[in-house]
Amino acid sequence: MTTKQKSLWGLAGVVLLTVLAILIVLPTGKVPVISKIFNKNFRLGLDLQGGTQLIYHADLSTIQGSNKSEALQGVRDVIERRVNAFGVSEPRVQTTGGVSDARVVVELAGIKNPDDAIKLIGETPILDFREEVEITAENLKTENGVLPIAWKPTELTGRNLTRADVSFDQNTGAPEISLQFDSQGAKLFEDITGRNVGKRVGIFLDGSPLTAPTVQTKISDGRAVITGTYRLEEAKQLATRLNAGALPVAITLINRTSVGPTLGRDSLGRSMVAGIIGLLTMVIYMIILYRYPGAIAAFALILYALLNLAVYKVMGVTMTLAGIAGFILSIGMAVDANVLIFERLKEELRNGRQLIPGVTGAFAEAWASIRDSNVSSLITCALLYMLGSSIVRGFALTLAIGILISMFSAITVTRTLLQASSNLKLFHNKKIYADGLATEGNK
Amino acid sequence: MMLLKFLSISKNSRYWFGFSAALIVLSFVALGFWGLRPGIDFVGGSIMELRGQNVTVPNIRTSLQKNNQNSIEVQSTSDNSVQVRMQQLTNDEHTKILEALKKEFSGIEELRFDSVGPIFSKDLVIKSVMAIILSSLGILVYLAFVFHKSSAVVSSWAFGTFAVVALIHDVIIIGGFFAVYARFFSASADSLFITAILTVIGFSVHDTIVIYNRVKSNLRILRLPFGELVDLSVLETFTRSVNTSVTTLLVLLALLFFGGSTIRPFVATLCFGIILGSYSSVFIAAPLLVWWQERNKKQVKR
Repeated sequence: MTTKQKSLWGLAGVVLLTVLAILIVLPTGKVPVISKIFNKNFRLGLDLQGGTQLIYHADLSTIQGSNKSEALQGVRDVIERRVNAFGVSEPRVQTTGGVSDARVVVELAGIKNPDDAIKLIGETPILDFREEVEITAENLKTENGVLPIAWKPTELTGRNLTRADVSFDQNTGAPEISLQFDSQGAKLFEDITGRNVGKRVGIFLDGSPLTAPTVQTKISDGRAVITGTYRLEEAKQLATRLNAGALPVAITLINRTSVGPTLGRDSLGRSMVAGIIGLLTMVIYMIILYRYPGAIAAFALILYALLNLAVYKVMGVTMTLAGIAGFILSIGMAVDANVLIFERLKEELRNGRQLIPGVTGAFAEAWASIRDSNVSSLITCALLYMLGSSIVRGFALTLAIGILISMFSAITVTRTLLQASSNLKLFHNKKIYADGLATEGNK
Repeated sequence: MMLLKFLSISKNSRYWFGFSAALIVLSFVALGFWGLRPGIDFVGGSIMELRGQNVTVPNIRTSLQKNNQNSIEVQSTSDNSVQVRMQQLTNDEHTKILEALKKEFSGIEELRFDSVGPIFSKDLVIKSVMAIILSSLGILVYLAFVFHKSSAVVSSWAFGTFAVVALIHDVIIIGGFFAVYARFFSASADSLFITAILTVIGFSVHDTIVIYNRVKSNLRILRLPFGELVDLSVLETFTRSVNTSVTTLLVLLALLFFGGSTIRPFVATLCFGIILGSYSSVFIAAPLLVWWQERNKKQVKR
């Protein structure tokens, strides 16, 4: 392949990349094929769309060794169920941290009454056992005309449950859940099962029924097995929930951030305006300062912005205010790489080098500086990401993505375009590369 | 460029040193007078931002005091809203206060409410201290790596030490800047402030390294008096230095003037820090080398 062919292939690659980036960035659903592959939208942080983030500390110190992560998972499940009941679209409940700093992070986008949600989440999960009650006229009377209760609470609650496990039926191999009560619970359970042979006993979590097995015989050893047609997954989930109810881990709300919808909308609009103005300023600055190569750099910069947005969309990076700041800052740094290269190019041309070797030389010379500068910034980003709060992380992540993409766009794209065009006679006038070079260069 | 020659950085170093010394003194004065108020993410507490009709600083203060919230700070923001900082509110307290406010001011809107408890803030303090220690170590290792080969004229220790001196200079003056900024606009030194400082010193140390590297390579190929050689090295790297700061600054200014208000203190600190970082590399770090070398020469002569 000749250099000319090579540069043409490079050019085709750049065009293809640009088209791809535009297609990805366009709103989902507008472009049929791409939408199918990247079926995602931009993920906006709560500070841009309004919403509430809650961080809970889960106190796992009361729990023995191996059950800790299970218990944390249980807390997560309970919170998720409670949040789901609240009707927020796409709530996110995640656990982070280790044993000593276990955290549950709850994100409720667009929630209008966060205080109520907090109240609901804050309740410790309650597991209790209830007896079936036949509905009679007498019962109806005591409830003052409220819907008749079919279940009567007993004294047996999650406090008496030592643990719940998934086990398997020895004959059929079907998954079942075994319960282990403490001594008080064992006695209560003996009484309840004694009273209710042939009837059902309801196991309730947070007031809603989980399961209601029929009592076969009076149980006095404090062990119970819930059989049923469970799939393994279901059985595991149920055991986790029972453990969560049985081992109420105290959770404390340690951080709350609520952003109203007005402020979120406002911040989003402003950030977009700032981003566009920042990008345009750079485009104008580069063209004024470096003329033709500046125009190429400006194109590379726009492609750079598109690529960043495409990566955010594909990787599902959450865009926040600080994250956009990181992105915008990285635009400035991407330009820096081009400045380094073009200053070298000017020097090379001034020293009388021809255009094509000049371009190659400039890139080779500037690379070391670009690499050093970017590596040190990437290290800063890594540190900030490891140690920062979620706001700081957003900043560090977009800045790091920006730096990595800029290494590609500012260097590869600009070089490809410059080399491709330096093969054309039209672009051989050195005057378009910088001031006052034409006469010197033609010597 | 002519201007730069005219400035003749190393010959006029006493002016730059004087200027920086003045800035440092002013920074300490500002820090001493107004201090750096840590953000609620470091010390715990709640911040409430409100907007609406009749929502003014005195009105909100009186209303909140009626609700037994006495240790409050009420400030107006640049966005036509009122910001209240107070002790950490429990959820119930928050609900109660908000209901009372809604009754008193029709159409009041809570733009934002942040609440941080002691566990979270303690955690963040530890993490931030770790970040500061690790990045300082990182910078020292980076400097040791870049300057591990000593040159005949200036020892590698001098390069490393003066780069660190320039950094400390930056951190003190950014502290002073933020004390002044926080005094006039509502702001507190939160984790984003730490982030701004770490980002800026990353930029600044790199600027310094670029100049010092040029000095080192010029030392190998040129026979010039040391002062002139440093000036020349600064000149050669100046376009690059200025351009980097200008491009970064331009985008940040767009963010400062048009971007969201919540992170404005952060962006302002970044803007100031980037200017300062470039200044300190050219006008402090470079002349310090000359000063040191001349001092050594005198000692040898004696």
